Amino acid sequence: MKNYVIIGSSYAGIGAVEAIREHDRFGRITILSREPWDFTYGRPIITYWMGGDKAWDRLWYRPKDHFKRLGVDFRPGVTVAGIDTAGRKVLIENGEPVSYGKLMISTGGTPINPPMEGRELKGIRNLTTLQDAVEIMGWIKKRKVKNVVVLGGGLIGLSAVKGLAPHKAFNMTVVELADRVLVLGLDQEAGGIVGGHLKKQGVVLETQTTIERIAGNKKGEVQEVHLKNGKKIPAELVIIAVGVRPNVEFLKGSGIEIDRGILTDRTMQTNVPGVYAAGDCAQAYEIQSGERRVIAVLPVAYSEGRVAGSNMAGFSRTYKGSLGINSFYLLGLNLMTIGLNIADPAKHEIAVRKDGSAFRKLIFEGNRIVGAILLNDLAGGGFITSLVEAKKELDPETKASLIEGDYLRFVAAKQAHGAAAVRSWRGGKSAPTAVPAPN
Amino acid sequence: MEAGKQAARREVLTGTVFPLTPALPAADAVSTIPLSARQEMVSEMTAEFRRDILVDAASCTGCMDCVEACRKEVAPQHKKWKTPVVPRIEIRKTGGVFVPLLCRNCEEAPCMVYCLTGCRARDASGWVVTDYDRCVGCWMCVMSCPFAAITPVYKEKIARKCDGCTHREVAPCVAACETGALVQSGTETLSLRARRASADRIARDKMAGMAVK
Repeated sequence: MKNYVIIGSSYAGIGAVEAIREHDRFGRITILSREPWDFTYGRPIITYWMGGDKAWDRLWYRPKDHFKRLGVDFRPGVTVAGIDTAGRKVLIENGEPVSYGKLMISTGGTPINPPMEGRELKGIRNLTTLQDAVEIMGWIKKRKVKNVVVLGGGLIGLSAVKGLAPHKAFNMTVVELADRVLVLGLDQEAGGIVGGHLKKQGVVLETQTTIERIAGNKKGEVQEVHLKNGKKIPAELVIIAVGVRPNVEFLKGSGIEIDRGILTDRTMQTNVPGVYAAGDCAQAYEIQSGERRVIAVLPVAYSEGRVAGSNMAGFSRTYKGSLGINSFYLLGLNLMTIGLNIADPAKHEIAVRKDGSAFRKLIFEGNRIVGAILLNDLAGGGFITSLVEAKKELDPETKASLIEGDYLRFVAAKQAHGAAAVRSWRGGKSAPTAVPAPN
Repeated sequence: MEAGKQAARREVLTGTVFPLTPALPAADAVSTIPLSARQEMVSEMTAEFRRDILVDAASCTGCMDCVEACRKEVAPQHKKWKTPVVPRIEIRKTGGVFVPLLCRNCEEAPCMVYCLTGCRARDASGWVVTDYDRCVGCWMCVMSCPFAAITPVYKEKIARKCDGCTHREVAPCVAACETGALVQSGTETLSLRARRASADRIARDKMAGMAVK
């Protein structure tokens, strides 16, 4: 009987478990999780919970008895200290080591905390886990928070804004080092639109600056934030969201190859046989560049986990590669970024369409579509994703129709082809010809 | 001796037909799966009758009967929302062809992979369904669907999609389609039935043996 051990119980871990159980119904599976909760939740959901969109009992990513049904030994509240790859053991802080036959590491990311004066004050937090969200909400009640400062205008920072905005009780300031929000996902133009929208919603944006120091009161609680540009902002809560990095420190000395994240091959296996990695901590092949990169988004984590799980169970599968994508709902703004977002004018062709509040930007490289930014009009987003993933050479007509905004022409052409095939199969008889127009 | 031979034969059978474990998990093994769950798995794997709604675009005349049928079918579900009823099938005309847009119930469905909350899952009938109470409108599935079969409803912050109407014998859209553009089929074939019967028999044997032990 195989003995699987999985570190981490988020998307990648769940993907692996589900894939293993598809192929091996009776192997022994142990999941070690640092989270104290006896259920798994999607990390991005915590801000929706903060905003009151979701009740506590709807936070679970899978039903509560999911692990029991799959026959998994789920061990929450366990911190892994290291891995003994020679002895095939996972070392655990204050506990017995767990031996493994096949191991998957999906430890995700740890928030980056830049050094700053006053970091030890009460009321300064990261926001990546449910624990953080619970403690932030507790702090808001206890301290009667009125002013919130968010350091970092990335996805996590804006998620924090989104989570707190529905309460309509806070003056929020976002401090961002770059010249716009979502600097990794949006170019100047789209970033400007999102920033403008935030300002309209009453969020103060402080770009091209950062926090110099945080001043506290006598009780050691946050009182005021001093920015590098000289401004002083009152704050009772500071959320540090400057990004995450792969959580791989505990692997030092284990012999597992690490660059930024854990390097994996196309089967999600590391350089140590029997040890796999997936999710935000893994550095797997990217679909567009063909290089290995850390891409920390949910579908990537889940599909990497599935691939790793299949291979662990002995069912060979290769990973098609990850694609950096994201979609986001932010205070009435709907946003989708697919593939490459920041175009190089020398290399890429850019097609922009604006229509009221809707904004679409498509980026082409020759006849291939390599990226897109969609704002407020998300129709056809799935087509673009599949075209970017397939790296398909488009014929000029399809390309033109895509630029015009007619996403269905591509499918129509495909279906017309299918229709011709059906017609020939029927013996040349065409479909009924009476064609009333829809609507 | 005779019994041993029989057991060996059963091992071979189980090994080739259905990957049941050759031995019961050891006493210290924690992943012992309760019998009921095992039975459930067997039935999940074997009692497969997946509904498929096939699209023959060549026959679509754009009469919108299926859309109206869908609207009528989903109207009761929409009572809790304020926005008008959105049918889960759409017919668009582009390039001189009618394109029916509806869920194709993919095998490894991207919308399930992309779903942030886990509200989209395959139910017992084999169709990918949505728990709208848990949908938060993150639009990840909208971004994933290569058939554009998922409609974002911005005001309600939910992503709507065809539920397959598996509670009905024939899906209303298929029943309404007079041109044969929508065809309902299942993957249940004679060979699947035969394999299912065989697997059920073996699983029963195995489980009966376990119960005695």
